[in-house]
Amino acid sequence: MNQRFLRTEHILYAAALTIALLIRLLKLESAPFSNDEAALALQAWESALGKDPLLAPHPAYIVLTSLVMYIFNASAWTARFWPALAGSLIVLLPALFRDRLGSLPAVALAFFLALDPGLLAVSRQAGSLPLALFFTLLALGLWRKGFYLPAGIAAGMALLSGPAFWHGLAALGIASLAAAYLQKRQPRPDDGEGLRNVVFGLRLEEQDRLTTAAGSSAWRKAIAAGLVTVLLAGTLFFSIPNGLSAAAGGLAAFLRGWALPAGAPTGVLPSLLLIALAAYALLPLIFGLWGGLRGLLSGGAVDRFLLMWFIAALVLALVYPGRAVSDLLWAILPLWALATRQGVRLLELPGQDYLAVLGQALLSTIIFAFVSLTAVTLVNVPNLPQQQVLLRMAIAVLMLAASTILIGWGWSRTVAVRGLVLGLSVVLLAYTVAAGWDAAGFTGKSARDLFAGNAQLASADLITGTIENLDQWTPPQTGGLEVVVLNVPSPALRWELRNLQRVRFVENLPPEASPGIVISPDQPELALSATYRGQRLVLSEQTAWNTLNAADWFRWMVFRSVPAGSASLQHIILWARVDLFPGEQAQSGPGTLP
Amino acid sequence: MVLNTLFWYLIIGLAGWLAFPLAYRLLAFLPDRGLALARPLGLLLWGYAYWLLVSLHVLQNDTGGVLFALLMVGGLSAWQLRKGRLVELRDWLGARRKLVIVTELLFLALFVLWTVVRAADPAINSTEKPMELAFINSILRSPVFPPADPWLSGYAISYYYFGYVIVAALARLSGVPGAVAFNLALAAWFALTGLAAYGLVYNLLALRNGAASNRERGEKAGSGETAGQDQVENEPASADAPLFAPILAPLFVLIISNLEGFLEMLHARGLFWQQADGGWQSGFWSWLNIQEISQPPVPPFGWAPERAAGIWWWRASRVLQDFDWTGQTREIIDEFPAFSYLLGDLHPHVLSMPFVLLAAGLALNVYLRLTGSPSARLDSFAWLRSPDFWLTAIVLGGLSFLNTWDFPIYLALFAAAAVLPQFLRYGWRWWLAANLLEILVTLGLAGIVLYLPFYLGFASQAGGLLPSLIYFTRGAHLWVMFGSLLAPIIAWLLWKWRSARPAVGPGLLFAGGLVGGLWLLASVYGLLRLGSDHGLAGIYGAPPGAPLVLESLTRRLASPFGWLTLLALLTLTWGLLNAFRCRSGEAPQEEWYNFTNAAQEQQKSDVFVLLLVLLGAGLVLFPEFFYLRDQFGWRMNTIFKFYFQAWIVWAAAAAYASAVLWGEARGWGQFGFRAAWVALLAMALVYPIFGVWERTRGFQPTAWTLDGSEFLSFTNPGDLEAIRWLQDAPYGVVAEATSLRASYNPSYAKVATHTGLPTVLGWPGHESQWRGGAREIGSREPDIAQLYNTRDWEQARAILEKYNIRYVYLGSLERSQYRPNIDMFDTHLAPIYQNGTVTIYEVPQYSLRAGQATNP
Repeated sequence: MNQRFLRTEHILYAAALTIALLIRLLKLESAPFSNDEAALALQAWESALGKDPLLAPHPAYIVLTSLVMYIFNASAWTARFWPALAGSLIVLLPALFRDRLGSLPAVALAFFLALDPGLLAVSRQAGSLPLALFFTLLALGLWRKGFYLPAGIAAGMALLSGPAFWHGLAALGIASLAAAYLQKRQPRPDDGEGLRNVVFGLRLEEQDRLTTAAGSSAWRKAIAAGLVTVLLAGTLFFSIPNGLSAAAGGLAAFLRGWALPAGAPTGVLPSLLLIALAAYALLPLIFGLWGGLRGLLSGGAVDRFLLMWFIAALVLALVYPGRAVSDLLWAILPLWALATRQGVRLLELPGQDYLAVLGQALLSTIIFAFVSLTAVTLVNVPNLPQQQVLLRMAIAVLMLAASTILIGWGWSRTVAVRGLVLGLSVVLLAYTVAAGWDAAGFTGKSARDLFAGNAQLASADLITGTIENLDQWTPPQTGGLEVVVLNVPSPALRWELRNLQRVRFVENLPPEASPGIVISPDQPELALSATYRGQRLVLSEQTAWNTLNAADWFRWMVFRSVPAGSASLQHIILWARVDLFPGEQAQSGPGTLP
Repeated sequence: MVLNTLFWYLIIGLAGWLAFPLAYRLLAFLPDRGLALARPLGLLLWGYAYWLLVSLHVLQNDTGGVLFALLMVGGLSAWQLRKGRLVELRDWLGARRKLVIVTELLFLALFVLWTVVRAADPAINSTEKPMELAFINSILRSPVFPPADPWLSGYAISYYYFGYVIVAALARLSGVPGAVAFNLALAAWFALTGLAAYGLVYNLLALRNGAASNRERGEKAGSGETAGQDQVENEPASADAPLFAPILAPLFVLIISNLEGFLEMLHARGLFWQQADGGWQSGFWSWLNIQEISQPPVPPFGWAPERAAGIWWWRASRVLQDFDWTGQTREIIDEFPAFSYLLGDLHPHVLSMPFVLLAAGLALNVYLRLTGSPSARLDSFAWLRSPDFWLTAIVLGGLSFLNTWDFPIYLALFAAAAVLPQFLRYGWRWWLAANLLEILVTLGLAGIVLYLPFYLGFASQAGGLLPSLIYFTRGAHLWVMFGSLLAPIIAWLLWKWRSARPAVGPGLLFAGGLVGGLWLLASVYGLLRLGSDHGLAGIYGAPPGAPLVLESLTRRLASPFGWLTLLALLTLTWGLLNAFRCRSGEAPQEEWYNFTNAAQEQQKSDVFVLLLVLLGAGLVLFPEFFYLRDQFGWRMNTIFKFYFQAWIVWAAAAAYASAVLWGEARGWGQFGFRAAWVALLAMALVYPIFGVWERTRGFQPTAWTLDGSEFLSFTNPGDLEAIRWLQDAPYGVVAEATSLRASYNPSYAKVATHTGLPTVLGWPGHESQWRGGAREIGSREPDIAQLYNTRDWEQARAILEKYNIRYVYLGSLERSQYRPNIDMFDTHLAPIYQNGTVTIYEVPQYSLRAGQATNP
């Protein structure tokens, strides 16, 4: 491989990273916080303020974010910075595996990872998953390259990345065992590198190294570096010592997910995971499975391991009682790797026929796009003459079939099939990019996204705006407006109100109390001693996915919209004491709703 | 239930195997390399790391903290396995597969057995079980360590609570609630104790049987072939080690009981009773004078022990009686392990059992190490630099935190075992005392320093030593209590005595000096104390100026069987010990480490067993003349603490003695011994067999469950429902009914007990015991009464503020004991939970702590 190609490769990786950074960091604060995000962000903020909160089992995120918040103050941007950065840097990781994946597939993989909707969605949320993905794969890559000390550091950081790390490790472990078993049962001539060489892509000589004195030294280095990392990074240089508990808490949380007590709410339905896989990863699903099956039949160690990894991660996500849609990312990553390898194989255009392939691809793209859009119209626009539309679609498909047959007859079957595949790829890629755009929240539909966390705060601006307005009318000598949040256990709301000076979160309120503002659940029996005016607001919004039918799902896949009845809304009432309004006097009597 | 049991089994097994590499190093001179003691070691190290790091606010008191501590133990072990030791360990285990299988099966069998027993009788509703559950739940709920005292809000636990920390760690990791953990812990500790006892006796018997192998290795050592690998020298070949004879150890430690159970059977059958003067009379039962069974049985007679109005199996723990000046009886607790497990209290003396056996294993290890070393001396200052010293200090120091009096007892055993090889080689020298003191001080101080956070918050109720002037143990009671252990021990001593033929003089001199010295010391101390402490006579129920010392002499001389038994035992033991020392005259006995004398090599086990017998005799002898001053005033708790440990060490010795005599006695002696042994075993097994049958209702309980709170669903379903709700409620102080007579009444402090939330005042009697007085209790009892009774909200509010109360519990007990002003509570507080019988109010934090913003 010449220097020029290497330079080009570097430029391509840089381009992929730039794209990833742009679409992850752009308008990072725009989407409202979910309760899960807010709970973690609040812990990071409290840690930054020198408090000693009980840490959730995500120490890497909390510790790193507290550092950023300490420097730049708490904001949605600082809360989401590290996941976005880690989610961006993932695009560089294929470079560490290029000798196994191939140079071109590795570069292509970088771009696909930059655009992957699922990865994009979780990278723009406060959480540990992108950190777990990045550091785990970084540790493996560095180990392969012989950088044992940095590999240990990365492994230490991965260990601090919460239950997601253990999920991924379990999938990788199962995949390794399965691949080794397959290789043992079906030894192939091209598998001469030994059984374990498929595990994490280690070569035979690398494996030998691990069992020798030098290997022992490598282990020592890596383990020492990992332990020091856990100790220092996990505690932010001993300033947050209970990060160590949180580190082990990741494993505990993962294990606890397997043994949810009877009656405890389990994760999302397994069917939702399959829908998500089809909706967000259709392109890699088709080409990845194609490549994986090819690898399985031909005995290619890399493809076989990637397929095992995908299957293990998918099965693990499906059978895990505490499952979440984001668990799919551990399956989508190897799927993309398989898909890019298969895609590159398919794009190896035969000599002089590339123009024919491109022509067939163009025709296929147009027809696929036409069929897709027509289908969307059929679902979305009522009162269309269905038979006519279906006939049009059928004609289009027939045209495509005819053109494929003609090209196959006139040029070659390879040209015809590859053109068809390329056309399909273009359409699916466009769909993937569009899905990523939605998942990133640029279209303001993040609440309709399967990768979005639990209930997102819906009226954040309205709540804070109302309080700020009323605060402006409060005489300064009273010490500012007092806000009491009564029995609304919402971390997202707590996050939004974090900058208010006089705010309290209580479970109950004595009758004689009369704070300026009370935010309470939407309970009509609530009566306040002073006269209040109340405004009913939507606190959070969550889609009830299990209520969607097939047509709803199709519509959602295209427009990210769901029927009105499928959105589950949680309401609150924002009560303001009457005397806070200009010209009003406090009067006794129950609160009223306008 | 099955899943919970499986989790516990697996987690304890994991802790054991994670710690085994450490045990392999720490107990390198034991033939089993600490395999059977690895589980207690793992649990102790895990609990220590968890407790210490949470106390130092390094770890959180959550699952992550517990897991991190466990991983630390694994990390230490992994570190230990560097430099090819993993291969060595693997090879070692490979050569001892049978031992591994037997120990694993033994643990599993004991664990399952006692899980079934507990599942048939799980209720935590009597004796001190609520206290123990309260500690476990409080440790689980406390945000930080030291954990909150569940029965005295605002204070930390002032008790030796390490055992509960370990139970809580297991509960946390396995995800079981405290009330289930309580019963699983009993089963687990039963199995751990059995396994540790097996390990101790296995090592003793293996040493004995592995003499030939050792001799061969010794020759190699002598030729320098294994120089520098002294730990290998004492390892017998695995094939020589008996695998099944050591099962006698768990039998003697855990199951064999005192002979009161057998007496209960005779009593129930009406034996030795004659009808006279229209009633039943018995000279035998009157002479025996054990309460309840000195009264005639109720016809019709049968073989099964029973008590019409009472619990027959309780009496076995109250065989002894003290008699004050006026002849009134004073209750004495003489628990033994089978009773403790049958009772099912998770008390510190039960929780410490596997760990004291671990400490005994450490003592055996140091003894073997030094008998094989050229100098035979433990330089404790040099030893300070070794990790082994600190591991030993963690184990021995942990005993203080587990069950305080075990610390000095087993520290003394360890130090005695460490100087014993020098004594055997050189005879008595004054520098032995200096070496003994050096070991005691260094290990003792290290043991205290390592557990400093515990001592900083601990207030002991012990108030010094008192002379036991007129309280002593009658010989008959001593034999009823310990006969099942003393008989095989004495038989073995006599058997050894016959072959060793030692001189009687030194043994008698030692025993007479010890018994007489203590007697004299107690008398002199008593005279001095009586002169200065005018309240002392009252402790004995005597008027001021009563001739107590004279009365002491008279009573003891009139009832000599007890002290004569101990005198004889000490004479036999010391005589033999001295004989082993004197075998080669006054010259230093180099054979002890040259392994040239097979008989002496075999005697290494015997010598250690003699040390155990001596320790047991000392533990029984000491409270004959002195006892600890506590709230009770007499020997009740001193006997309890000392006799329990005496049982453990004597039981180990009795198991060893039985195994040796069973295998080695010959001729008529063999026949006689075996017949007597079987008869004795049968008598000693009456109690556990009938006891377990009764406790489990013939294994036909109303329901099989391990949930110790489940009984509330029958007695107070409303309370149980409310408690379940509070178990998930945010942390805060709860106000519930209390009374100065609340102790031992499970209706009081039940909310705190079953939820782990601290209450203002639980059982006042226990609180004052733990804290050595009632100063901290203050006016809590009347304050709580006022909170419920008052009509004045300001008064109630002041109390709520004073104790930082978050929840006010209004259940049937509160409604019956007080006249609560429900309207007042409804007006000012928010009812956050209600069912048919219970209302829980939450105190608005808003009104009590106005102006405190909750934002960071």
